[in-house]
This record gives sequence, C-alpha cells and structure tokens, in this order.
Amino acid sequence: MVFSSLRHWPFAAGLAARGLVVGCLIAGGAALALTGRPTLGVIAWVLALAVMIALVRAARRAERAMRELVDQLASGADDRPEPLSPAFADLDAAIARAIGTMRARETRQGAQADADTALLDTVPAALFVIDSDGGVVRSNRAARALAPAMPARFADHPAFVRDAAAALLASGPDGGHMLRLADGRAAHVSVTLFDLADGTRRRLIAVQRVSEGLGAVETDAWHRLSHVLAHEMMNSLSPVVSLAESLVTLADDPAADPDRSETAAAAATIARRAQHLMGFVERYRELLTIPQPEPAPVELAPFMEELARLARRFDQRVDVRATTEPPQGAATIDRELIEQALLNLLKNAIEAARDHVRPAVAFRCHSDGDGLSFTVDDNGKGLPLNADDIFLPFYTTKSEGAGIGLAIARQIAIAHGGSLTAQRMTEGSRFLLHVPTPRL
Amino acid sequence: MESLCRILLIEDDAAVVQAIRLALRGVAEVEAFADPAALPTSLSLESFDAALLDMNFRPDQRDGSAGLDTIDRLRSIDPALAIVMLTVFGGVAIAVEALKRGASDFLLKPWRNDRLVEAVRTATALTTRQRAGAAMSLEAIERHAIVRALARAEGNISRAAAALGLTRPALYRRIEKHGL
Repeated sequence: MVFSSLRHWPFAAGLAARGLVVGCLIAGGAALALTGRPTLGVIAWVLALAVMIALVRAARRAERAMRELVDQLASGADDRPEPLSPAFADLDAAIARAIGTMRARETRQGAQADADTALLDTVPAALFVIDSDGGVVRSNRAARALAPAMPARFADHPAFVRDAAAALLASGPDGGHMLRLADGRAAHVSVTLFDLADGTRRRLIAVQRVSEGLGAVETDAWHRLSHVLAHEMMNSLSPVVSLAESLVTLADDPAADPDRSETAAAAATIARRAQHLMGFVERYRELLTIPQPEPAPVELAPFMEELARLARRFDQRVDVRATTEPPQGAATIDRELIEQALLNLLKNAIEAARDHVRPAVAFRCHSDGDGLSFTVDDNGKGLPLNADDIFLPFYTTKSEGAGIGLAIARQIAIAHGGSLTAQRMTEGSRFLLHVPTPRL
Repeated sequence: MESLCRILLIEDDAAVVQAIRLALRGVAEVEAFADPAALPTSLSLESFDAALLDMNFRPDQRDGSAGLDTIDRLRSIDPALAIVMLTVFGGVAIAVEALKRGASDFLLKPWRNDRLVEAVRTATALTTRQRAGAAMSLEAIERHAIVRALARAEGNISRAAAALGLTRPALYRRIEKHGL
C-alpha cells in the first residue's frame, strides 16, 4: 500500500508543493502587511495568486488529458493514445495494459465470429435470420446460393413461392415440414424464434432441399433393394420357366414319359417354387406393416433374462449371457416390438456363433441419459465384406434364411426413433440397437 | 438319331438341375454336382462334351468368384472343354470376367429351353473342334521344332538330336514320320 501510494508521488507531490507554497506566501504576505511592510505583503500575495493559477492549470491539464483519452477509447480509434506527461507514468502504463487487454478480447471475439460464420457456411441447410420487420439480418452461404442476389426482405426472396414465404414469416416455432420451392423442388423447412439480449425478436428459418440429402440416400436404398429383389425373384423363377416349357413339350409327346414320373416331378417343383415366391411376397408385406410403437414401462433385468431364455432354445450349445446395467433399470419401450427385434438379433448371433468350438453370445443392455443401448456380440466368423447389405430385405447369407430378420429389426429401431448398426469385432461381430427413451 | 452328348453341370439349386435335365432330354446326358468342392480330385473331363457352370454355390456367395475359380480349375484340367456360365440378370460384369477367363458362352437365368439346347450344342461342337485342333497342333509343334533344330545344326543329325534331347534313331524315325 505504501509502495503503491508512493508510485503516484510525482503529480500529487507537485500539487501538494504548490499548495504549500500558496499557503506560505498568503501567510507570509499577511505577516509582512501586519508588520508594516504592505508592499512586500502585496508582492507575496501576487506570487501566491500566480502559484495558485499554475496549480489550477496543472489540474486542468491532467483533466483534459484524461478526457481526451476517454474520448479516444469511446470513438474506437485503433492507434494508441498519446502518452501522458512523465508525471503520469504509472497511470500511462496502467492505461496501456487496459488497452492491450481490450484489444486481445476484441481479437478473440473477432476470431470467434469468423469461426461461427465459417461454421454456418458449412451447414448444407440454407439459414436466414429475420428481424421483426421481415428484413434479412443474416444468412449463410447455402442461403445466398438459393438466389442470385439476397433481397432485403425475406418476403421478396425469389426461391420461395410468395404465399409460402408469408406463411414462414407469420408462423410460430415449427419443428419442420415439407414445402415446394418456386422451382418446383421439394424442401424441408423449420422455423425457430429467439430473443436477443436487448429484447428484440429474431426468426431463424432453415431450408434444406430434399433431393440433395435424403433423396440420394433413399434412392440408393431403393436401388439396392430392387437389385436384391430382382436377383432373388429371377433365381426362384428360372427353373419354373424352364420346367413349364418342358411340360408343354411332354404334353405333346406322351410316349416320352410313359409313367408320367418326370411330369409329376416337374409339376411338384413348379408348385414348390410358386409357394416359395408367395412366401416371399408375404414376408415383404410383413416388413411394410410394422405397427406404430406403443411404449409402456418395462423392467429391464427380467425382460433381458426372458429374452436370453427364449434365445437359448434356438441352440442349446450356444452360451447366451444376459447383463443389465444398471440392474434395477426400467424404460418405456414397446415391449413386443423391441422383443421381436432383439430375438432376430439373438437368432442371427447364435447362428453365426454356432460353428465356433465354444460358441458364445453376449447380450447386454445399458441405459443412460440418452436412452437404451442393447448390444448382441457373437464369436462367429464376422460380417461379410459389404456389411451394410445385411440390413437389406431378402439379403441372406444362409441357405434357410428368409433374409428379413435384420431388416425388420432395423425398421423397429427406426420406428422408435433409434438405430441399428453392425460392426466387426476382433472376434465375431456386434449389433447395436439404440432406442432413445426417458428413464423412469 | 444323333448320339447323346455328356454335360458336366455344377449347380447348387436342385430345382435348376431338374429343369436342365428335363430340358436337355434327348439332347444330352447330364452329370450334376452341387458344389465344385464335391468334384473328385482326380477329375477326368475327357468323357464330357461341355460344362454348364453356375456362378455361386452357397447363399453367402454373391460375387461369382466361386464360379470364376471353378472356370480356372476346369481349364487347367482340360483347356479344350467348352464352358457355359449360368448367370443371373444383372451379372454382366461377372459374365465378361468369365469370358475373359476362358468360358465360351453364358446363359441368362431364367433361360428359354431352345436357347439352352442351342448353347449346349454350340459348346459341344466347340469342344470337339478344340480337341481335334489341340491334337493337330501338337504334331505341328513337333515338326516345327525338328525343322528348326536341323537348320541350327546345319543338317548335322547328331547335333540336332542332342539339341532336341533325342537319340539319333529316334530323330530319324520322326523325320520320316513328318516326311522331312
């Protein structure tokens, strides 16, 4: 404390010295006047006045320097303020430090703003921030790419049908819906409202063209599905086509098959194949009609044990272990649907593990804030090369498989707003079914 | 009445085997194997006039590589045997690869019976031609080798025989056979 007050001594001491001199001169002048030397007294008072004026000017100079400094900071000028007189060296250093800190903070904020802009520009959705008068305040690159020039008002944007733009400006918060853009393409739009610190309201409109995201994925999925369908159908149909032709030939020439055994065998095969194809179509229908989930609370540990018990019936030799974490957990899920999905995964895992010397399947349930994760690990020979194809309906690597177990399981996961994925492990493979659900 | 030819069929689908047997009634006698792994190790192909080959033999095989490997195996045993691939619609890339590896033709599933009969007849004829061609070219190769050895040895029979790894009398016999 002593030290820091000492640091201000040059200016303060100057003022104090001048004050002291003024006091002494006034007192000395008075003494001289009273002792009969009025001329000397007047001179002393004039000197006192002069020192007083000097004192006031010094104080005003300091005050002006401070005012200029503050004005310069307020105006946001970038150059460093002129240094103060040597008497204010400490103050000067403190001001320099303060300015340095402020500059660093400004630079940081600038960099953050640049990063935010870059981030917004990488979002594939077009983003518009609209003020309460319908003016476009901010937009990202995708939004600017929608039209050759960004209009000042959102209602005038050429990419939107006029009524659609008006509806977007008038609507409350909107989690998302589809609309047609002016060029006829479909887009998914959502509206969010938020308030700035000063109380003004902003509207964020996000627009994503569908043909460029989801569309491509869906088209690809349909393409792959139709490829599998065509492959399976053609494979099933080829003996039928040939046998039917041969039957026509045999009918023309009864002597060729006197005991009718060839004819009967051919007809039986055709009938079997027809049944197979019908079953195929029925399974396809089954896949398309997965009901809407009806979630209800389920105690997880007994649920898992029950499933493991059912799964052991597929093959007694396979060691199926169920674990639940935490053991007393419960969750709201559609019991029947999740059971169906998990049984498909367990059956799959048991069939995969079967050829191992010590076939084992680990069946785990883990619940956390995000939801429920069910994992099914087997020690079989692992996933095929094109691992995502296994979720395609009718894609099967087993001679007796229908090829829809995994497809159904994935559909059930998606119906719950969750996901089903497969991954290669050091030994065997893992299927992970994740369902978002609030814990009870 | 033309004699029946013999066809080697490798196909895992029993219904397809049945259909092919019936469609080739009166044209060919079919010997079928469900999997190339089931073929005898000391397989002799001389008694067959053509091979019909599926591309995949198990449900977990889809890329046709099992079929392509089987082409290589059959070709190494008897390069003269004509091979016809059975491919499913959409398998053009596999069919092209099969032809590169030495298959002579391919048949799209589902097939028409008359197209199957035609493919089998063409393949049989090709096998016959190639076997005859192979026999003829072996003679030609021997003759060519002797002519060249004689030219290098400047007509000296002993040196030419040594270069060919033959005895003098053996070379004489061959010179006579080829009328040189």
